[in-house]
Amino acid sequence: MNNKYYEYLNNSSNIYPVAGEENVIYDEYLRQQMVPNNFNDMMDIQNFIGLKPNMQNNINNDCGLYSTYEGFLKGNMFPELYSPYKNYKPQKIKASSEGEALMLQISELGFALKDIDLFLDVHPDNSCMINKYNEILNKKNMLVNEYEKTYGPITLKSKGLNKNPWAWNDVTAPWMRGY
Amino acid sequence: MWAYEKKLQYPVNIKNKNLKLAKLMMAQYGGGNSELAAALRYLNQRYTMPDEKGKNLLTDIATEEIGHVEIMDSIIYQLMEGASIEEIKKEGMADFYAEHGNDLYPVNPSGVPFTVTYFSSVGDPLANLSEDMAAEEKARAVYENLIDLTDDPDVLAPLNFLRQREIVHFTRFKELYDYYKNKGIK
Repeated sequence: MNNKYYEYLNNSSNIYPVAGEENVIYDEYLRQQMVPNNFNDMMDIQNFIGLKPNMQNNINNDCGLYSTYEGFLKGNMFPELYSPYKNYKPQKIKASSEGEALMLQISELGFALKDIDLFLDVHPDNSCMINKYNEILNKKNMLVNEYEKTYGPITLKSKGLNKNPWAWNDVTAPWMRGY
Repeated sequence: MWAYEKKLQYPVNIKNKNLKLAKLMMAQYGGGNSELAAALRYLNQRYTMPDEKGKNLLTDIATEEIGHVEIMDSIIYQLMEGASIEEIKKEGMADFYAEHGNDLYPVNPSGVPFTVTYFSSVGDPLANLSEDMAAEEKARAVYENLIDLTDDPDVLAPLNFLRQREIVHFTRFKELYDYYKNKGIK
């Protein structure tokens, strides 16, 4: 896991997709967040488990939205609405386990869904956004299935509840585990 | 009806106890412009929205706000987690502990209990939406006050996230208000 991530950083042609200008700005943002400033940072990155940008999200047809990764860190999927407080720069989200890193990806997609849902409630005839919503929903459902197979159910509708003892108890309460 | 997903909308991972800060965070848990007030406000106003747009927007934002109540209670819980009785007494949280032990309870930082008089529902969509816009701006301002009061990056991360959400909610309420106004809905 560590080596793959470091390779990912060094292999610039894989990281930066070819597209319009908004991607250049996004890439620069990413670069600032992830390039090590010193030896400690570099060790930190090599050992980094956490939320990482999924480059498949930042290609064409993004409806003018941030990538789900950037939107989640910022708390806002809409670049024209984003307004930080006093130059606050959103931090990388770190995880202390693979399970947490996977759950963070689920939260990233779930957040995008909520923000697009609120938009569609007021603008119900935007076909780009409707397609985006369903695309993200499919991805999220796949990640939820993957998570539940290994770590346990996260809703009361999960197929993983068909076990004895009651598997709902397998997953710690969110406020205690922090995600 | 409401279903529960066993995760936080945004992670909360606070490494350092801080009971004084926990008390301040109660502003957005049980205070006048708290997430709880927001959720109940929109749930009570959704009935007089003139169409599905308004009913959906208020229900969907209220649902998100309930998730934010959970984020605030996670922040408070983690800031107090593992505190000894000595620390509780020293940090001025003995009053709270006396009545609630290690449970949470919706009060503001001065201990004033939450009341539904923090919000209104007046049966008029334009008036209700005006209150909703003001409420989101006030919540944003309170988050800025809370952000001013700490340097802990673990606390700043969810606070800045929640602050950003208020900005988006304000925008959607404004869009809906303008839409109804233009349609001549009174």
